Amino acid sequence: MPPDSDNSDHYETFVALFARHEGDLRAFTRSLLPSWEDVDEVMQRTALALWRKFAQFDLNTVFMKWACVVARFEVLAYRRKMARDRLVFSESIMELLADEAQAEAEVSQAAALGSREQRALDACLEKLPEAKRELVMLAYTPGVQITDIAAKQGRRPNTLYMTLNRIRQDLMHCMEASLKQEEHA
Amino acid sequence: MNFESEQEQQWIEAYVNGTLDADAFGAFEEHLRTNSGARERLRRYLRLDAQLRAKAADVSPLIEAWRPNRLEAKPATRWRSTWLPVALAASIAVLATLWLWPQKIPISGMAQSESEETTMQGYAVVRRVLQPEWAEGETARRSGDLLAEGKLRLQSGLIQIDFFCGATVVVQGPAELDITSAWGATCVSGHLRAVVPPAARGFRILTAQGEVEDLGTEFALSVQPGASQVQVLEGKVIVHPSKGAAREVLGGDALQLKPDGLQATLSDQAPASAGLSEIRSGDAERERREFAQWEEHSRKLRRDPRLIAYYPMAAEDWTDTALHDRSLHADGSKPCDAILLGFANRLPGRFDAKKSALDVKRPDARARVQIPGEFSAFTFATWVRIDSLSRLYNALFMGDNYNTGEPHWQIREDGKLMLSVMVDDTKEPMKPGDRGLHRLYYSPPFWQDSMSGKWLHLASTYDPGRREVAHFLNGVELSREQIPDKFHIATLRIGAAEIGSWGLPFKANDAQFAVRNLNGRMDELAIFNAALTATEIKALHAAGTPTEE
Repeated sequence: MPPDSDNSDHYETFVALFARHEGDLRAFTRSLLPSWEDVDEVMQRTALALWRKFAQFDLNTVFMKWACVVARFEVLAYRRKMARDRLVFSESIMELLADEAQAEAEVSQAAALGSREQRALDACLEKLPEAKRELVMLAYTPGVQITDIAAKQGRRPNTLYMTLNRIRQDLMHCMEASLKQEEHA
Repeated sequence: MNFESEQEQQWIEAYVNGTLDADAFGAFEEHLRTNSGARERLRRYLRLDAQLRAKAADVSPLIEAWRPNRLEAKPATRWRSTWLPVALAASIAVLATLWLWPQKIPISGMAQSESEETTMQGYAVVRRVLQPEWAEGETARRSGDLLAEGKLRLQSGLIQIDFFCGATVVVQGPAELDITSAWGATCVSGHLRAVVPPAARGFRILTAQGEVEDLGTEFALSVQPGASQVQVLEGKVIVHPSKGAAREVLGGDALQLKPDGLQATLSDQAPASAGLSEIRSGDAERERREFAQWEEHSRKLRRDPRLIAYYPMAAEDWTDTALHDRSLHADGSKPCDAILLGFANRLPGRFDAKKSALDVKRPDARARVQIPGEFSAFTFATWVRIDSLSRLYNALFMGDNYNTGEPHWQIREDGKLMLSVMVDDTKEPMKPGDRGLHRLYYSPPFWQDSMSGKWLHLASTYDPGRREVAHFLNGVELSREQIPDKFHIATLRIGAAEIGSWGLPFKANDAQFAVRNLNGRMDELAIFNAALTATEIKALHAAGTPTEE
């Protein structure tokens, strides 16, 4: 049974936990699904499912671990309904990826990896030339299609994809270097 | 990150771009099935993808989205829509309580948007308050609070408001003042005194019966139902009545503003309300009283047997080169005085500088201690006046070598209070470049730019017995976290350490050191061999508060 919705303590606890882990949970879902549209859809279902089942959640256990289990179930359910022509991982690969992602999430949470990476990313984005930074932000804005940007800029979509690949590669190298440097806390 | 092959790189990039074709997808899937490294690299790549998406959606955490000002300022994003079904599932009544809730987790508005210039809202600042009683439902204002447009309803007491145009107004309760700009306010009722230097000429106070425009110097205004009285103490004002012609009033004269016009009145009596000198002397008196209270508290505190070291930093606790530890050391051990080195400074502290404070902001400044012994828990408690969090890590109290059992207490640049203890320095580090087995316990970000230059009380506890780490700001608990079994350590040490910096090189033959000097002042530091309770921390804060009112 879903928790009583006018039990505000309960609701607040849930909101606090969900808010804290939403980003990580989205990243987890993204690791299994082929597009952001799919992720948005599954995240909505997951949020609702988590709230409905929240009465069963033991507050002494790790929220992220529990939320991943629920999200994983939602991903698989969603996958079964996806059009056959969509390029989506087979269930066995998905299970494999999910197992590993869950284990990884635990380790990275212990090391507060998420927030360190976030800060490294911020710094690395600052270092990008402005045009590149603007492009990557535009390309990642929800609802924006690469093909639309390409049409507006009079460039071929392929050229834009290649530019984005290079930007991501640069960001990744930069982040790795800055995380290595951030030593001895 | 390096891919295993160009082929793998192409697959992963095309998969993320959504441009992989069916044949290639089959091959990619097969590659993933048999290659755990490839799966790991795919996840790393997708994690960046998720981080970029979060950034581009300007996705502040959900909590942020619920703050009233954010709701208006930010366009709806898809991210927030994740929440919608749940928000609908819950009742509106519950949602209403959430408006109050984010205050428990203050969010630094600054850290989110490095590219934007910092701004704040305010036409004026509260400079002093004296025995204020606020009307029901009214926010209690404190010295240093910024005031944007809006009403202030004071039941009794005095408040000094410095308008950014240069005018200073002392309001005496009961009064209701409505700030309208940096150049004026509406006085709904009550008494006030305004001092207007030449630079602020044109400062205006509006009343129901007319407007008073100051042409420089000082006037008193008393607003009552039906009539207001202006008394010019020095200089000149222009009174614009709601009806009739404006009139100049010179120093020594007084006027009554009535709905039907102006009327000269007697002016040889002293103004009814208090002015700057009254609030100043009242303030000084309160500071003396509070300082005396703190002295008594401090005398009691130093007898607490749980203290490892206590640096009250009062006038008598300093020499040119040392800062005295005043804890009792009932076991006969020696006080752990701090040695002041380099450009460590003694600056004015709390209670209107009746106390001193330690300044080690220069990278060459040090306050070093040597604290022998083994301990079973830690509490660190201090008063700080931070100018800015200018380092990646801003030191509060740092064990030199961070050997097993030694603490690091600091603030990260994003405003999180952090405490860590080295669990085992012989173990393999969890990430490259790190050292040993240890864990960082963070509070949520507590720092806001508006805190700059204000005295804050910070405390953190490390409790191996209950396996908990807790952080406190101004006596209020920010967070409490479990110590996982893996990171449990029962025997704690300090040894050589520094207050407000972490200056010793890692290795004896390497001159390089991390700059973590706190950009601000520390006034009073207490270290306990115990985890103080939330109630005790609250009491520590209350006893040392410089301007509680």
